[in-house]
Amino acid sequence: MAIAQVSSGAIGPDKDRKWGAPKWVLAAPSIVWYAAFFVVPIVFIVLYSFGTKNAASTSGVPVDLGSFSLQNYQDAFSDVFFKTFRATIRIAVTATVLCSLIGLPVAYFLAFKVSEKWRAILLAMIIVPSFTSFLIRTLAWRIPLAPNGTLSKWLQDWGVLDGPIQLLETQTAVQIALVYNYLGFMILPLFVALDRIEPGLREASKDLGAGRLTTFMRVTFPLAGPGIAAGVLLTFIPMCGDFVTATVLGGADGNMIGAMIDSQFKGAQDWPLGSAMAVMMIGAVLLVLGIGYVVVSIVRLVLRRMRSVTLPEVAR
Amino acid sequence: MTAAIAPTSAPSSTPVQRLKQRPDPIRIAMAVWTTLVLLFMFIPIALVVLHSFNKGGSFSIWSNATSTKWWGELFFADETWSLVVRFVVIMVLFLGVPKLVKRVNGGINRHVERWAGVTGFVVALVLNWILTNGYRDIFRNAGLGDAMRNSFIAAFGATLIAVLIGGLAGVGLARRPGWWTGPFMAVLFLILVTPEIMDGIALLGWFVRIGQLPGLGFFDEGMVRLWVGQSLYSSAVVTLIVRARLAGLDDALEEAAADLGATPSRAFRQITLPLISSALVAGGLLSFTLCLDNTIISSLVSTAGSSTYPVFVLGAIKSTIKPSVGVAAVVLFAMTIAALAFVAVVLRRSGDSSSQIAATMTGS
Amino acid sequence: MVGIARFDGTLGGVEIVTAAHSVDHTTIGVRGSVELTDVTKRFGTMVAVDKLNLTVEPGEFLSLLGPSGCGKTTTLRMLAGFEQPDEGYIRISGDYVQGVPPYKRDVNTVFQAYALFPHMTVAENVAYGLRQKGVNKSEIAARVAEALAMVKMSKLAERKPKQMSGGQQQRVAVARALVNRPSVLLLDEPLGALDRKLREEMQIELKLLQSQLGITFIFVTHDQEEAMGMSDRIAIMLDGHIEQLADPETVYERPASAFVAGFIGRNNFWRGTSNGAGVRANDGTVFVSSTPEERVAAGDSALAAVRPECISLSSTDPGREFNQVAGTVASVSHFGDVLQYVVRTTERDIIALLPRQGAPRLAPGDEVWSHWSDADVYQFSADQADLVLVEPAADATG
Repeated sequence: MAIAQVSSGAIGPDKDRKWGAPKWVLAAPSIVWYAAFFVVPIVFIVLYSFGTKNAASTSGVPVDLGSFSLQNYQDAFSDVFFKTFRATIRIAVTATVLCSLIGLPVAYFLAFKVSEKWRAILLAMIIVPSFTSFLIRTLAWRIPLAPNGTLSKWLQDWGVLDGPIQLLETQTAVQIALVYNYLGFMILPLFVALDRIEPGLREASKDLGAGRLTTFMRVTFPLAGPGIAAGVLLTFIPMCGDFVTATVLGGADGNMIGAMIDSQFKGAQDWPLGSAMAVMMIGAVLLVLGIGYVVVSIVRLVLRRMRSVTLPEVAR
Repeated sequence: MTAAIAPTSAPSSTPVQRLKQRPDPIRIAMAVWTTLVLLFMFIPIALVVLHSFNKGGSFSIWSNATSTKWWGELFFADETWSLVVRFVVIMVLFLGVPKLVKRVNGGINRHVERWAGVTGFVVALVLNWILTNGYRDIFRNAGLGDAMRNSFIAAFGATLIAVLIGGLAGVGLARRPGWWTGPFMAVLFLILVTPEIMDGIALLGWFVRIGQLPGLGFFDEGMVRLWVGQSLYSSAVVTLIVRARLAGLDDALEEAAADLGATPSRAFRQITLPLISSALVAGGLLSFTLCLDNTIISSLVSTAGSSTYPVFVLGAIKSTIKPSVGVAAVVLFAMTIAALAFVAVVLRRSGDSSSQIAATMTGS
Repeated sequence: MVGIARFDGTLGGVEIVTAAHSVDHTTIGVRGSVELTDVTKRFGTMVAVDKLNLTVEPGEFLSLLGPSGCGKTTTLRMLAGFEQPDEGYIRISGDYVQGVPPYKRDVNTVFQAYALFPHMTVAENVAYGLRQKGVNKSEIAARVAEALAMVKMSKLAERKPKQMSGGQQQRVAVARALVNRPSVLLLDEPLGALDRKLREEMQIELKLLQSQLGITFIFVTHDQEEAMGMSDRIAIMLDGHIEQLADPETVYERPASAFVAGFIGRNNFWRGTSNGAGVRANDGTVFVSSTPEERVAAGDSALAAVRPECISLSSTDPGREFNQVAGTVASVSHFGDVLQYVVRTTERDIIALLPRQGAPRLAPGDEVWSHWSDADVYQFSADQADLVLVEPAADATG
């Protein structure tokens, strides 16, 4: 049962160990899995982006990695690609902003203004459509947007429109559907963040004489920061890579970068160019998020300055 | 020593005038706004359901007449109904008999009661698999039918992987944190936010490359690729859910088990596993719905014979979409709702509030 | 010296009389004894436990008392096996336990938040340890019933932990640990989550249980009243070492350091300079002690301390040259049978506790003289002045 031995510190336990196994052992399957099917494959995409196209490559992948070339990046900056690129970022930023503007009042209402029973019902009503097939939800928009569909007919009959709805195959259709597709994924993190704010804090703010708006701007909103960040990440990043919405509703006019990357891999078989575009897309996403972060940080710094209280020197 | 401060009692001499509760205009405005947003979210889905009963030949143009002909076009009615009946009968038997025994007998083995539903579900699934030639017999439209079959098989395999590796990693993160926690969480975060198109092209290239290696030829199989590809995101979700569940529980519980003489493996089986079972079920079902829905990665990695439902629809997008696509969508929609409802029930039973369930759904 | 005699039931009728103060080495190796020698535990650069030496007698009720971060819980966790010491060794019942995992140790723990398994009923929780040992079913049932009866929880055997109050959970946690008949029971602030009244009841019950069973209890707490009321001996810990190890009376009457004097009960402290026979405080008050400590050499800075209940107040000048100080009454509080006066003097506020019967009628603002007997004066070196003296300016720096 017990080990009869006198030790003067010789049995120093390994810092990483507790009853034997290393601490990360339970995550080992995940670590192997993610290394093999996430990290390494993406490293290869980065490598491909500097390679050249070679349909007869022996590796099975139509890429020559022998020579290091920046040609793909130059190609990716060509007019057509760059235009789609800019359009994608613009559409995604607009959709993210719209999602947060539409979603914030809903999240606020759910977090603070309804009873527990109604909150459960309303949350379910937001969760259910959000977890319904993405493709089907996108496809659904072809029904109201169809030029010879029912809605189009009604609007013409009522004299709202002169001709049929001309939205299908445009950027506007993509824009609407993106907001629709990602709205739930903005509302839920916002709600979670607002819900976690201790009710006492908002009451304290009001108790100390702050009005509704001041309480929201100076207590609720800053505390919801992490939720807003989560919502932005959960919507903006997938939007940038989304090609389903563009493929289903966008046509040639509403093309997005995701669809272009997809076509490089499936149609044109120009993997190096597709890889370079993917790497640039990630770069652009990081750039936009970085700019957003800097702007938010500056605003916060300014606000902190404005409300800072400097104490007079305390005499000891 | 500091002087004690005598507590001052709050004077409440003025009687509080109870004011009549006036309706709060901001609250009303928000309620109206929320209603509009919910309508916005539900109307397209309602349209899909409606158009699955369209009499005309197009999914997007309403023909002003309803018909179930597209349901008949996708499913063989007889086979499908007998499948549904078999399912219901088996579930009623497995759920009802233990209850009956309990009432008559006064008691029943706890484990029998607990596992009856799950066992019944599996039995019904397997029995129907055998009786309908792996569910092929219920579909008249073989293309769409195979796509739906593939969707389920892919989602099932990927969920199995996700629950296994995600469950273990979640326990590790919550209970054995260390230097590895930071980097591991960073990778999880990257998996959650990396645009799917990136994962898709990376995996495509990788499968093509390693499929050439001796002994790894199975990576050329479409289904294997789908399992791997769909397991990435969903395993991260399971990991976060399990971690959150355990983080809310006293970490002295496992220590208590050890203190009472349980070896680490016994403590895991007898304490940790039962504690995270609700998180595993919830994470698994969530993962299943996410996998069913997965479009981008699936469309890149799947091969000709292994198209899932979204991949099939995406491929058909250039031609006229038939209402039978809507029929399949409604079936999948119903299953998603059932899975989500089950998630809610499981989480609620383990004591979560609706807010906590919402947090789980977003993986936070 | 206070000798504690008791019957140790685990030795089949052999009566052992132990003296609490002088370590009787014949008891080491007996079931229920615990010995820590030069035990050190570090977390990174932080030294949680620093060369700790401690011997616990079989059947003793020993408290580890100290402020948070003093190393008491780490010490307990090393005994349970959740942490391994970096240096030194531990013996439980005479056996060295280096590297022995918790599930192989003959000790059980009552956890701070009870750590009852939420998915098991009360009876299943209590049976858990016996199941691990492979005890047969009928014996498990009998012993669980006995253990639940012992803590008066038999009626709630089928409840889940969530359906019980904190006090009930606490009893179940005790039963779950004791049902295994451990050689040593470790209790990690088990009463911390209970309200005051319940806590006092549980203190009495735990103490009774311990004296009935004769099991060694090692009890971690930061509540000095709890430790004083229950323990045979108290180890007062600070920064990973033991400041004083003695029975409650000694700890109170003869604190070994200024920290102990301030931590056990309350004390009024003055900073000053030793003059050999006493202390001359910085405000001019002279303290003369009838038991002068030799630790503080004349001329060194020193602390003088007088307990609030040892201070008398009078509205006329007693006219002594030492052991008195003039001030004004700042506040009076009624604590039932005692009155607490805060007296403001030139340098500091003094707290005096006087029995209600016969207390002088004083109101805030009255001039008053505080005085005390030379038997009630403690003097210490000034090393721990920062720990016991709360200066107004020190508040700002935290």
